[in-house]
Amino acid sequence: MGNWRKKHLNFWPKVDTPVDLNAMKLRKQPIWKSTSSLMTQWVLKGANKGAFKWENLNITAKFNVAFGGLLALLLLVSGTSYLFLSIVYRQTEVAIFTSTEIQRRILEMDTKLQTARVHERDFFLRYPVVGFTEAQQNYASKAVSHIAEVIKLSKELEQLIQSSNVSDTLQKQNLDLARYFLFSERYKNTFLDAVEIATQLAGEDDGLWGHLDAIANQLSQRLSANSNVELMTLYHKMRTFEKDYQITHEVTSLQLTLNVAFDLHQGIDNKTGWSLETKNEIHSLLSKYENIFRDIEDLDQEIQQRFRDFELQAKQVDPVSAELIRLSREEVERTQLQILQTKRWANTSLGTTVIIGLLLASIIARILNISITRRVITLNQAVEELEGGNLDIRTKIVNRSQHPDELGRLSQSFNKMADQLQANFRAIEATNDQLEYRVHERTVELSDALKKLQSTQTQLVQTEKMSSLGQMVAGVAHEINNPVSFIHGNISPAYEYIGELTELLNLYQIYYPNPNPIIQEYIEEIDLEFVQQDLLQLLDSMKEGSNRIREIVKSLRVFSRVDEAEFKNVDLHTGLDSTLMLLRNRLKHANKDLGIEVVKQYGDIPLINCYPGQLNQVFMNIISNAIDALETCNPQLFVTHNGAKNDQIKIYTQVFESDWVLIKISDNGPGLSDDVKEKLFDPFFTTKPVGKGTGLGLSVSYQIIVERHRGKLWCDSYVGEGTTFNIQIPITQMDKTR
Amino acid sequence: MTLKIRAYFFHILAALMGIALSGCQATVETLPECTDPLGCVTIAPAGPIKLAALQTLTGDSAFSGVEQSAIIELQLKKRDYKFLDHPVELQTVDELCTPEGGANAALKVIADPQIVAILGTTCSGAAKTASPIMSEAGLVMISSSNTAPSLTSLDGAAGQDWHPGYFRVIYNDAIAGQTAAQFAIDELGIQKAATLEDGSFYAQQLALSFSQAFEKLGGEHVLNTSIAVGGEDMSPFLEAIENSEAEFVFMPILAEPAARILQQVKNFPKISGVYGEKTLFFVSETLISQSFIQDVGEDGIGLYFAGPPPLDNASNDKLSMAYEIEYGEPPSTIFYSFANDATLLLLRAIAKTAVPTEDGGLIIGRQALRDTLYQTDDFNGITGQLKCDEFGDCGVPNFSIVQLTTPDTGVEGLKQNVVYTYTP
Repeated sequence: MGNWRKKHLNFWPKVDTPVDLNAMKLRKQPIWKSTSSLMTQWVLKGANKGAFKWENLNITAKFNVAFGGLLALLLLVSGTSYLFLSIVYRQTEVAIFTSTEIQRRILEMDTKLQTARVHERDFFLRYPVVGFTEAQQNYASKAVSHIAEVIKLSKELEQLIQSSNVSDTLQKQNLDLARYFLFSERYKNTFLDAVEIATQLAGEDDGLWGHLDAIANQLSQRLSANSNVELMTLYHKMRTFEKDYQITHEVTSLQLTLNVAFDLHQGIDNKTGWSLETKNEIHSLLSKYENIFRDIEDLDQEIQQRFRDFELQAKQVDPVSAELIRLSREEVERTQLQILQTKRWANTSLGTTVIIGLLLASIIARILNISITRRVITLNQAVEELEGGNLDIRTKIVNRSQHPDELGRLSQSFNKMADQLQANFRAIEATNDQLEYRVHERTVELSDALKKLQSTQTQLVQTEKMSSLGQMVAGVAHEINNPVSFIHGNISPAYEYIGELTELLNLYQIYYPNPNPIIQEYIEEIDLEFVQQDLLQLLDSMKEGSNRIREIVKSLRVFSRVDEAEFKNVDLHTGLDSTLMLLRNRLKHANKDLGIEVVKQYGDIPLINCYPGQLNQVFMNIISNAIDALETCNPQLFVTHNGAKNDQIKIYTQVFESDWVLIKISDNGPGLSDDVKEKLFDPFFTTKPVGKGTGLGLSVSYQIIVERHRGKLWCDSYVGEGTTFNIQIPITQMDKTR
Repeated sequence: MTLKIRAYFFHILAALMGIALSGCQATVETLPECTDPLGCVTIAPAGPIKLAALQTLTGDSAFSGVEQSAIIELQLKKRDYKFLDHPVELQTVDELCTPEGGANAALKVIADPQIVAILGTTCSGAAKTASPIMSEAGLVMISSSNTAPSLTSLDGAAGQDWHPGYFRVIYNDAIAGQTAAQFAIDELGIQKAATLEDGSFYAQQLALSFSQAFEKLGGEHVLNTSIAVGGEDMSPFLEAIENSEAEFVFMPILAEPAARILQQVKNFPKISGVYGEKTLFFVSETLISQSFIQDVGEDGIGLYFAGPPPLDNASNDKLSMAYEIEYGEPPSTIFYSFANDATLLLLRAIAKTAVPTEDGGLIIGRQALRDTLYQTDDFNGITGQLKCDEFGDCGVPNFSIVQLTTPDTGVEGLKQNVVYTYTP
C-alpha cells in the first residue's frame, strides 16, 4: 500500500486533515457536489500523474489555468449555444422555407397546369370563332407558356425535394414528380402537335378546311356554271355531309360525303353535253376535294388522338398533383413538428451543455477553493488564532514539495514564525512561571509564616487568656468553693438548728399560748408563722443555691482544667455536661417553652486520651455558636414527637471505626451559606456584630482538634437546615508530646 | 505546453463539439461503377428486380392484353416472384390499345429508373408511341402481339416507328400482308381489293402492308377507308365497297365492327353475290376467337382469317393447361404462347446480363441487356426457335390462312381449316 499510495493517492500533497475532513463532508454533500469533488480530485489526480503537478504551480498559474478553463468553458457554452441555436435557426428556416416552397411550387404548378388546360380548351373551342391567329395568340401561346412553366417547376421541385431534408414519403414522391415532369413535357409536345395539326386543318392561309372550302366553291362554281340541278343537288348533299362531319367528326359522315362524291363522279361521267376537259376538270376538283377531306379526316384522327392524350395525361397527372398537394401539406405539418422536435432537441442540448458547464465551473471553483480559497481562509484563521494567543496553531502545509506556491510558502513562513513565537513565548512563560513560582513560594511561606504567627499569636493569646481565665476561674472557684463549702456545710446544721428552733417555738406556742404582748406584738410584727415557713424555704433555696454554686464551681474547675496540661483519659460526656452547665443560663429562657432544648444522645464511648480543658474549650465554642445562631435568628421550627416546636441543640457521640470518637453538635438554626462555610475556620472570621465575637473561637477549635489531637473538625450546614459540627478525635493519642 | 489539464479541457470541448456535430454527419454510400453507355439498373441486395407490363387491360382488345398479362404473372408466380435471388416486382399498366394510351403508360413506367424492362405492348398502336419513350429511357420492350411492320422493319429496312430496344416475339405483319395479298391473287384470283381499317395503327399498318403487297403482285387496290368503330350502321362503308367493285376486302379490324359489317353485307346485293361473285372478306388473327365466330354465325361463312399456324406442341399444351388451372379457363387467343416466350426470353436475357455485386446486389447494364436480346439466336420457345434481328424481330414468320366454313365447329374447327400456309 505504501508505494502505491504514494504513487496514486499522493495527488493532494500532505493535506491529511483537510482532505479527510473534506471526505467526511463529501458524504453529507449532495450528489452533484460529491461528483464535483470527485471530478476535481480526478483532475488534480490526473494532473499530478505526469510532469505537471498542480500543487507546483504558483497562484498566478493556478488562476490562469482556472480562469483559462472558465474562459474556455464560457466559450464552449457560448459556442455550443450559438451552434445549437444556429442549427435550430437554420433547420427551422430551411425546413419552413423548403416545406413552404414545396407547397407553393406544387400549388403553382397545379394552378399553371389547370390554366394551361383552360387555355388549351379555349384554343380548340374558340379558334373557329375568333380566328386561328387570334386564338393562337390568346390561348395557344399562353397554354404553351404555362406548360413550360409547369415543366420547369416540376423539375425544380424534383431537385428541391431531392436536395432537401423532406420526409421519406415526399422523397418517394420523386417517382410521381418524375412522372409529373414527363407528362407535363408530353402535354406540351402533344399540345404543340395538336396546335400544329389544328394549324394544318384550320390555318387561315393554308388550312385544309380552307382548301376544302375553296375547292368545294370552285366545284360549285363549275357545277352551277353548267346549270346542272341534279349534280348541284348531289353537291349540296355532299357539302351537307361535310358539314355533318365538321360537327360530329364521325367517320360515317366522312364516308357518306365520299360516297356522295362517288355519285358525283358517276353523275359527271354520265353527264352529256360536257366536254371531256370540263368533266376532267370537275373530276379533278372533286378528287382534290376527296383527298383533302381524307387528309382532314386523318388529321382529325390525329387531333382527336391528342385530345384523348390530354385526357389520359390529366388522369395521370391530376392524382399525382392531388397527392403532391396533400403530401406538401403534410410536409408543412411535419416540418412544424420537426421544428418543435428540433427546438426540444436544442433545448435539451443547451440544458446538457449548461449542466456540463455548471459541473465544470463547480470543478474549477472547487479546485480554486481547495487550492487557494480554503488555504487562505485556513491561513487567516490561523493568523487570527495566533493573534488571539493560540501559539499552538499551525497552518496545514498543503505543499511540501520543493516548489510550493505563494500560499505554500506563506504557510511555511507563518508556521516558522509561529514556531519562533511559540518558542519565545514559552521561554517567557517559563521565566514567568519560575518567577510566579518563586513569588508563590514566598507568598506561601509568608502566608504560612503569617498563619503560623497568627496561630501562635492566637494560641498564645488564647492560651494565655484561657490560662488566665482558667487560673482566674480556678482561683475564683477555689475562693468560692471554700465559703460555699462553709455555707453548704452549715446548711444542714442550719436545717437542724432551725428545725430545733422551730420546734422550740412551737413548744413555746404550745406551752405559752399567751406570750408577752411585746413578744406577741413582735411575733405578729414579724409574722412568725410566715418566717417559720419561709425560713425553711429560704434554707431550701440556700441549699439549692449552694448546691448550684458547688456545681458551677465544680464545672468551672472541670472546664478550666488548668492543671491538666497533659493528655489524660477523660470522659467527654463530663466535659460536655460541664460546658452545658456553664452555658445553662444561656440555654434557659424566661419563657420555659421558648428555651433551647438540649438533646443528648450520648453513645457508649470510652475514656478519651486528650487535653480535656482544650476539648472543653472546643465544646464551649461550638455550643456557644449554636446558641448564638439560635438566638440571633428567628427560632426554627422543630417538629417534636409531641408536636411542640422548639430550638434545639443535639449532642451525639459514638465510637467511630473503633479508634475514633465522633461528636456531633447540631443546631436547627438558620444554617451557613457556602461563603461562610469556606471561611468558617479562618482566624478572625466572624459573622457576629463588632465587639461580640473575636473570630478566633472556631479557628482555635480547629487548631485544638486537628493539630493538638490529630482529629478532624468539619461542618455540615445548609441554609435553612441547621448546622452540624463534626468532631472526630482518636480515642488514643499515639504521640503525647504535642 | 505540458499542462495536461489543457488536454482535459480540450478533450471535454472536443467531446461536446463532437456531440454537437454528430448530427451533421451524413452517410455516403459508394455505388458500384457502371460503364454501360445507357446506364445501369443497380439492384440493392434483396432489392427487387422491377419489370413492367404494358398491356391492354380495358376496351375491346382487353381480352388479349389480359391474357398476356396472365401468362406473364403465371411465369413469375411459377418462380415465386423471385429471380436471381431477388424478388421480382411487376408493374402492369393499361396501355388502352391506343397510341396515347401507350405513350402515357410508357411515361408512367419509365419515371421509375429501377424498371429494367417492359413486356408489351398488346397493341401496335400503343407500341408506336411507347417504343420511342421506352427507347429514349434506355429500356427494352418485348412484345408478344405487336405485328405492325413499322415497329421493326419493312423490306429489310428499319421501320418508321422502329426504336432501339424494341423487340417482339410475334411475326411481322409485313409477312401477314404479303401472305394475304399473295393468297388473294394467287389462290383466289382477285384483281380488285379494298382495305377497311378502323383508324388504329395496327389496322392501318396491316392494311397498308396488304395493299402494297397486293399492288406489287399486280392487283388493284380500289379502296381504303376507315370505319366507324362504334357505329351501328356500316352501310356507308359497304356502299363504298360496293362502289369500288372490290372483289376482296382486307379488313384487319376489331371483332365487333367486323361482325356488323358481315351481318350487313346481305343488304348490298353486289357484295353479297346476288348479281355475281360474292365479295370475299379477310380478317386478321385477332378475330380467331370463339366469341367472334359465335357473333357472326352464318354471316361469317367464307370469311378468311390470317394468322400464325396452330402451335401443335406439348409445351404449348402444357402452358395452356397451366393457364386453365390457374385462371379457370383456357386461353382464348393465340397470344398467350407469344407472351410466354417474351417473358422467358426477357428473363433469360436479364440472367445473362446481370452482374452480381459483392454484397449480393445486381447491376444490369441497359445497353448490355439490349445487346443480349439482339444476340438471341437460339431461344427455343413455344412458338418456335426465336432469333432476333437487328430491328428486334424475334418471331418465327410462319403464317397461315384459315377459312370459316362451319361456324358450328367453333374456333378449333376454324384453326384446323387451314387453306394456306406461308413458311419462309
